Amino acid sequence: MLNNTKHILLILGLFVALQFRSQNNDSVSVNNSGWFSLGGRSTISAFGDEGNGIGTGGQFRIQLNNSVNTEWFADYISINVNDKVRSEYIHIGWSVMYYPFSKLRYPKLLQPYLVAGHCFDYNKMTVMSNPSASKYRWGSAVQCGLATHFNLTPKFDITLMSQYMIHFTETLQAETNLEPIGITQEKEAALQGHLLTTVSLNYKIFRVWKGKK
Amino acid sequence: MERKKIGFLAVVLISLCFRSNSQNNEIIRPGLIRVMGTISPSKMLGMNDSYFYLHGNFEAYLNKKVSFCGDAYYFLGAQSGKSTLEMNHNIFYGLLLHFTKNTNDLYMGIQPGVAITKLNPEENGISNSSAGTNPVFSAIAGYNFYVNPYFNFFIQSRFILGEHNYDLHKDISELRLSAGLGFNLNVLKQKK
Repeated sequence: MLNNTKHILLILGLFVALQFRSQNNDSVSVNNSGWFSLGGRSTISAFGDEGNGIGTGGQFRIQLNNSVNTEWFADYISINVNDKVRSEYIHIGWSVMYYPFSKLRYPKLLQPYLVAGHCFDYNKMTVMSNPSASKYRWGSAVQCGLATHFNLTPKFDITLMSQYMIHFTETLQAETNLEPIGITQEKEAALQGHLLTTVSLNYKIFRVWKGKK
Repeated sequence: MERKKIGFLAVVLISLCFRSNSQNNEIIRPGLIRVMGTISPSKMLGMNDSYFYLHGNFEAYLNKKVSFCGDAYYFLGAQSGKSTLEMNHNIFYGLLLHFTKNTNDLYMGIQPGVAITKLNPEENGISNSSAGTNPVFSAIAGYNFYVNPYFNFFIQSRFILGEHNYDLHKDISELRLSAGLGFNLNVLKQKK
């Protein structure tokens, strides 16, 4: 009787261990390449020369393989400069997302990644009390940072991302201490940046291609 | 006699609603479309103002746990006499996460959006004001009770974070509350 119980416990233990192993193998063998996702985003711009601002936008993603994903985004950000000048940014760009941890990938809840990319940006500064006093410029920027997906369901994730964006362009400067308030464009290109913290919602809609398992 | 007839009709209607509900296997499933319209009161967090909005919503369930949701708010004016803003219309879009059990649907979500705002010149001491678009962030939580395949009761609260940056800077962060009767319809056949 004792022997039988031991055997049953041993078989049960082996079965449970095999179940866990099988689950782990499943999580690694899930092929995520080809997924097209669509979503919306909110961004907070901080630590720039101008002050803090809020942005709204959207993005789509195309996942290349289990390690690499791509994101294509557009943002509209409005920054209040010392309660006197409105600085508006439009970012249209793309990022490459790299998932470095093979054990922290979908379908795991937490999926951290590194992100880097490029965008075209438009900046317009306007004196709030005098809308005719306004200047704009077009430019280019690069961004990189850290992020994580929260995979809440098999197709839905919330992503928290923090990245530093550096603009390679002639910058606009608001002279809010002067009267009347002045907006000047620097003649030489300068490195100017801001920290962008984004929360985005994404839903996997369809697979552009189906990879091998 | 008239009262008795009305009471009898009310009881029959309510029992039909619940009968219909019990006959239907599942209301909350992929393909459920939900729309509603209501009056929504609010409290501004950055100033001592309270407003009313006409709130409309469209929601499509992608599965039992996730829905796409778009909301529009039309500014109706101040609840009291003071109105710093002359206009504050909003559009929001996003995905909501649902926790459902039978016909109960508790949800939460994040919706980015924009506010189209304009200051009230008299209240702000300026000669005239211009309308402008401001990005806003919002987080929502709410509860739906699906009475039958066509109607639901809902309550929703929304936190909005935003700034008005035209003419003068104003904090337009706000709390809003919406409640009422919504309409729903399953547009996809239930999988067996």
